[in-house]
Amino acid sequence: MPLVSVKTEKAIPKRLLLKAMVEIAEIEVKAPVKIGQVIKDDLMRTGVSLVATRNIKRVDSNLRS
Amino acid sequence: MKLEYDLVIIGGGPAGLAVALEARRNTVKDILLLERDKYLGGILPQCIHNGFGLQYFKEELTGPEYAERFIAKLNNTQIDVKTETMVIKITPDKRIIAINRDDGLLHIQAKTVVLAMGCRERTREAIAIPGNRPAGIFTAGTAQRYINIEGYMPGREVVVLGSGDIGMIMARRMTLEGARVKAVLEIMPFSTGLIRNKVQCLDDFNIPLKFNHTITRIEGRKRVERVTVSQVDKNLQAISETEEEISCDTILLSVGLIPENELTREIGIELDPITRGPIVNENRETEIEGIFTCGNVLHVHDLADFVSEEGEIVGRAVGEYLKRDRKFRSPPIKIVPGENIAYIVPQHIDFIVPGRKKIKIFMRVKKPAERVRINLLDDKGRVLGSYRKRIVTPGEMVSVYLPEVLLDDKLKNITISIKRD
Repeated sequence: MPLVSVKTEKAIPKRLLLKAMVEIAEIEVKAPVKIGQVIKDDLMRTGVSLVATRNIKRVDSNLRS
Repeated sequence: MKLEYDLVIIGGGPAGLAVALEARRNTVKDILLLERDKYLGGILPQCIHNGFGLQYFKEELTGPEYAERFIAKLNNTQIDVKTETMVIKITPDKRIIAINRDDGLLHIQAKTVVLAMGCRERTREAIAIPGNRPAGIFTAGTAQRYINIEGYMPGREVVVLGSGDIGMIMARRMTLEGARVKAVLEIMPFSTGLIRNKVQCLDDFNIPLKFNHTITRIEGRKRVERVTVSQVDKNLQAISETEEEISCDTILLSVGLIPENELTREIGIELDPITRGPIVNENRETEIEGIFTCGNVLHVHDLADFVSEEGEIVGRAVGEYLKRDRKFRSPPIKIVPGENIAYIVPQHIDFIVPGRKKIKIFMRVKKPAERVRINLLDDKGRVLGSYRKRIVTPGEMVSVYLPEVLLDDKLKNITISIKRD
């Protein structure tokens, strides 16, 4: 499963972490992805954005690798 | 396919990346970086947690972001990079044989080589623990790769053996993905990991950390079902009356890192038995002129930031070597580990460098101690210099500066030892 690593732009309250993980688990994005790109605005209504921490290229799956 | 380069770097992790960029800055022209994985960055892309770059960039970054700082700069140079390329042999005269799917077999002649292969995780603890051989036993780093890169969850009820940084970070990572981490067991009375990790990974998630404990038995038919855990005595022997069972389906091992020096040994380069990396001079050059090394393959570091700094030392040194701009001391000065010192890097000082004021020396202590003096002694045991330190512990590398003025022409050895103040 192709993954992109993410982080919250700032710290969010500790008590929200496990619920936030569930919210994050349901998010899908399309490649290409750039570091710093906002993946989700206002995570868990904290006002804090979730951003990508890795560059992911788009790969055309019809091409033979 | 036959190729020639001024510099070939084995390993595209933080060490290799730093060497490539610094060598380029020091006018080294033809540089080739060889990496066996699909992507650059070494271990960093799977270290999605924070804490990188605080020293080097004065910013707090995650592993992949830290790696990208270097990879992005690399893309703006004319440094050649080959990924999914495995080096299978290096000869003492700097011929490299490598293999990949596109080029087939590569024969590369290098003027200089940098060994930056990093390290792998110890697994012998799993082999030594009595019991069944069920599925569900991973090294912490493997579990990290499964979760963060491949997208698989290794298990649901976890016991972690070893309180090193990787173990603690993975205890938190598994918890965040919904697993239950029942305990982190540490055989020593102290952790070798950073205190910050104990607090942010274990305390914050109510994961129990048990010092002086180890796993004495693993049970399970096809998959791990339970472990037997015991307290250990001062000689690290299990105390049978303290045995307890913990049911679990997954065991993560975080019991140490081994520098990957198979290629190094094949060249015939001598390794330090304690670091398990090559013996080097202050330029991180091995006993073979023009073969350098840095990063975890030389000695296991605590922070990627220090690996990058070490890579810069090598990048500069490669430039100096190619310009034939070096003056050797005769004899070289050996740096000898004394009381409570496990190892020192570099192991000897080889050069006379006009204008150099001091040399940074790195070491690890054998046992934790507080309020100590780090003493530098000459051949006759006279104190050349002395530094105070509040706390020293094996989990945090110590560095001191060796002033150039102390490096007398006739000096052959400097012994560094640690004593209570």
